[in-house]
Amino acid sequence: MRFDAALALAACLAPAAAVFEDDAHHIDFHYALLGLPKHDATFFQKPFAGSKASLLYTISQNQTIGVVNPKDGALVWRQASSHDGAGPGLLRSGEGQDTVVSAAGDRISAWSASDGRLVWETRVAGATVEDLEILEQEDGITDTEAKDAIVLLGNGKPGVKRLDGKTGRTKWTFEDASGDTPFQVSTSPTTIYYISLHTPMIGASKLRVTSLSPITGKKLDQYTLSSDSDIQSREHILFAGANTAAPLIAWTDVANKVLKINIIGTKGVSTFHAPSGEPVERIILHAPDRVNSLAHFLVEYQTAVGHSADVYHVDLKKSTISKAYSLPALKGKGTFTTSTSDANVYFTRVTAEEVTVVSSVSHGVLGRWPVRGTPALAGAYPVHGTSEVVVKADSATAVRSAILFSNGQWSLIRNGEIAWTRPEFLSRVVSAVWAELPEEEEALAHKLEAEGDRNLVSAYIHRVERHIRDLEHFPAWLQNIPNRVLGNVIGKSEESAIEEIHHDTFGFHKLVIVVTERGRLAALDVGSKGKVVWHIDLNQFSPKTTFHSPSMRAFAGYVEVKDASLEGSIYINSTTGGLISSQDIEVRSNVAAEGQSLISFDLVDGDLEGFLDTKSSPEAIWTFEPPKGERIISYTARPVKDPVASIGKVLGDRRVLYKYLNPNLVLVTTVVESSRTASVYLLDSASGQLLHTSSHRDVDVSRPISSTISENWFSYSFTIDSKSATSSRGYQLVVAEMYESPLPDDRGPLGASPNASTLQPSEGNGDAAKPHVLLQTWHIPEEISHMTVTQTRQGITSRELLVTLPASNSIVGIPRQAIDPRRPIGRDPTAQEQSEGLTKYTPMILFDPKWHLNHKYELIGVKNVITSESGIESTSLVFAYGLDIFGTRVAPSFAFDILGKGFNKVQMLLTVVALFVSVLFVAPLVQRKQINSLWTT
Amino acid sequence: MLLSKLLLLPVAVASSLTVYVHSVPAAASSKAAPIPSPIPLAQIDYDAATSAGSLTSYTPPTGAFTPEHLLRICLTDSKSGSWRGVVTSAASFGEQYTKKFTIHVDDKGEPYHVGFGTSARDAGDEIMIEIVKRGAGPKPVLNKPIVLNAEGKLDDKEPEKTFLQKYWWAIGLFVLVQFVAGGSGDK
Repeated sequence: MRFDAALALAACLAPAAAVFEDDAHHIDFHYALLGLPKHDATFFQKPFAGSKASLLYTISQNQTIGVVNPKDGALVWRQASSHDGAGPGLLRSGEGQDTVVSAAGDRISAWSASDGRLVWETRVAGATVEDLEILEQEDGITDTEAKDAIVLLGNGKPGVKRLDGKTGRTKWTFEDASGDTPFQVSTSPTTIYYISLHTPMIGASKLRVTSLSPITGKKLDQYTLSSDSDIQSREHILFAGANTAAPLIAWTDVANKVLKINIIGTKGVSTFHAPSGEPVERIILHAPDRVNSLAHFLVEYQTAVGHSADVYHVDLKKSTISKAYSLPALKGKGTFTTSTSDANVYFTRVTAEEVTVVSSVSHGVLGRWPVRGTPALAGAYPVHGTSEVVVKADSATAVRSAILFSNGQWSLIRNGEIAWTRPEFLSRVVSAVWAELPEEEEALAHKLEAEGDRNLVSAYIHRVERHIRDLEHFPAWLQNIPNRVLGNVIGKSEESAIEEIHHDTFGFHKLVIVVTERGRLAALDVGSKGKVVWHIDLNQFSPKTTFHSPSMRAFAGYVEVKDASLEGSIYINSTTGGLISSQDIEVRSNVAAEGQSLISFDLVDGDLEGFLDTKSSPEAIWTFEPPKGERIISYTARPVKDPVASIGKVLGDRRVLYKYLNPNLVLVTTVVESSRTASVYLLDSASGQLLHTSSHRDVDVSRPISSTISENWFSYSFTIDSKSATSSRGYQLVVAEMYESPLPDDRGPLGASPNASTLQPSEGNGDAAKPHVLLQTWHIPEEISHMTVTQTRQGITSRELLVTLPASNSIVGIPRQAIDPRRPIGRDPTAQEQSEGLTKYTPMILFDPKWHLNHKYELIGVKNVITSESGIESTSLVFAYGLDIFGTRVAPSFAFDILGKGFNKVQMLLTVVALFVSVLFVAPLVQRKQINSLWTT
Repeated sequence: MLLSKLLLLPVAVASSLTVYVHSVPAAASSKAAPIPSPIPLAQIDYDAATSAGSLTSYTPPTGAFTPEHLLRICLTDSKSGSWRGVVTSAASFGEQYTKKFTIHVDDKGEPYHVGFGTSARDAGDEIMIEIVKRGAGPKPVLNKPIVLNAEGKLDDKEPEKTFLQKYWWAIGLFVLVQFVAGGSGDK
């Protein structure tokens, strides 16, 4: 009780818990992720014409534009697409330009290359952008001003547009009404080529090339390439070298045996044969992307066991293609990148073991560097990349390649050394759970339980035996002590992550297992700044499944992964990432004890329904159907593990308001689109009783409505419709507290009875089931997309409401004190209310900058935030995921049970030693003095 | 005016609904299900406007029940035949309890959920009816805007106190002093 009071006092003194400066970047971590970079839209580029160093630009598969410093892999800027646009993500940049142009869905945007500010944006309504090129030259003259963009539209309104490079305005539009499928656009100094896939009623698809005038956009010429019956689908068409002197289009047959290449603008088709031997799985064309470079290109052949390549030269005058030389076939996987320097073209071959550079003119190797592997890239092979080469006097002196590896790491290899790796496979996490490690304590508890069943003597022997067996670990433990003490005093100790988790006194080291959209599973140690402990690709366990949004559940020692497209589930060991067969797991039933049955609930056809013991009875025992026209958008249940330290709230006059603590509370949110109403329903999930309702009018139901429930309170937030005629508009946060009775020192009809049931009849006077609900609403400055509550071990520490703010890319922890629905309205709090920590109600809650958990980090695309208790009561672990990954720990009532970083252990030890020494010195003096005084008196 | 009120009257009152009861189908255990299909339990008349309801008829479920038997108390949709409601123990229908039916109605007065609770029965009725309208959610309590007059000053200045109101205590003191001083002067 006194402890509680002390806590309440601490909370009153400083209700705002902030991230301390010396804690920032130590207790928290942030992965600012992009996603897997796309091959054709990743390039080195100088951010402005006179810049000395170049940056690495990319657009990822989830259409996030990112710019990375090639030196250290740090993010310079990024822009995440706010919506999942259809069509490919494209990113192009003209030579010597200070902007980069991107296209995603129906948006074409130009960004300042050095800081990522928006220069212009154009939307093409009702169409998606299929391709985007920069018009480098016009009539053979390079435009030094902003270069125009050529956009290929598809899906609805096929056509080509030329956009002004400065403003984004349309200069001309060429509309294609032939019904062809737009495929690519390419520019040459004099012509724009629009390539489409013509599919006649009978027969195979044909490639149709339309040449357009760059100035007017008028059709100059059109021809169809006689492709016979080779082209079956888009996947078999290869394209390379847009914007070059000789843009190429190529296609292969189904077996990848014959390669046919056409120089766009000519009608001739050259046929080449793939190397015989191993069947070729994939053919990739690599060509330079500069207008003034040599018209050379490389064809890469990938087989199941290795890869090889041929280099071809294009004779522009004769419009012929001839093979120049072949690069030897190598075992294992690898990739090629193209880079230019003036007119010269260099090809860099990157494998997991070495990097070699050759010139496009001859097959002599200009430079060779063995790659020193790192643990992060173990077992992975390069998928694609881009390179920058420095060649002096016919030998490559330096090469750096940004390579995407097969395990999802994006890394830069500088002269054979791995300069940095970015764990891009972690982006777009759809589900995350706190891993439960198999606990030793539990085993101990079982052993102790076993003793209870025996008679006294055998139990005693059992106990002694166990102690003797435990002595085995004693020498190792003794040996470990100096290390651990030293590690404690000096700083970090060298331990592997799993060991760290086992030896963790404070419980900060916890494993979070995350799964991404694509089915990549990873374990991160939240305590050691989000270190990736292991990561695996789930596709290796079920090659046929395409994962869409897998979900997970954690059990002791393993996680269960489920996906809509997956039959059954996959079980993965939490500590190693290894597959566990379902036979090895003793399937533990849910928490229901013997003689009890469990009621579960789920959303069925838009109604919330409760079931008795899911397996045996498919029929609902209760159903909740919202009023006609309403649609359930979400429901939130009280967390299974939600410890409450005090069953009452002590008022200023020492009376107590008893909390309504029902473990089965479910908060259901519904909306009606037509009347712009949002309602919340509080249900008891055991009986289906409706405990509380409230509905709000003039709500913008298209915006997210987030809600959470914990202890004896729940909260939700919504947006008031901007067209409504209410007295105030904006974003609102509602917080409700439930008590057993409106009167202090009254436990309501249930009294102090230890058990209560919502199913069995009650003998109390009055309606037992209903809580007394206190509500208050506040305006908040920003929209909340998700909310959750901190969790601590015993629930003594006051809670914090963690809200995700998508508009400012942050996570804010609102102290419970600030959103207490008992704040006095329209008057100052009385002395008693003040002693409770209540302050006067203000209609607006401003998010104190000190409440922001993310301080300098920008958290983009946060989908969900999960919390967990740590080993100590004061602290709760927080983990946020989505596009980015962020983890931190919060102490809502301050870290009252742990020494801060500012505590100097060495100084304390020195002080103790100094005191001891002084005592040694002083003791004889004192003794002598005492003896003397005895003799003299 | 009166006529229009009279015309509106029949619309406002007299909604009626039937609460049904049926048992939860037998699970793996051997307990049989005494009421396999919904049977009427109570007939309730209610007026959503005044939140008043009255019981028309009540037929308690009969059969061999044990407290483990679970009964579903529900409203049924006449069109789709679906039901919505809560679950309670069969023991709730014992005579020693007061049963309370809670009918949750939406803004239009349509019932959408039923609740059921029991409490100790004293001399009162065995059945209680409660009609609960969906409450409006709380709104932020805004501060009052400051209204200025044409001169740009606060309009409702507090009226000036009169001389007497302001200095009554000084006068009183003066009078008291006069009395006291006068008394001593006589001596």
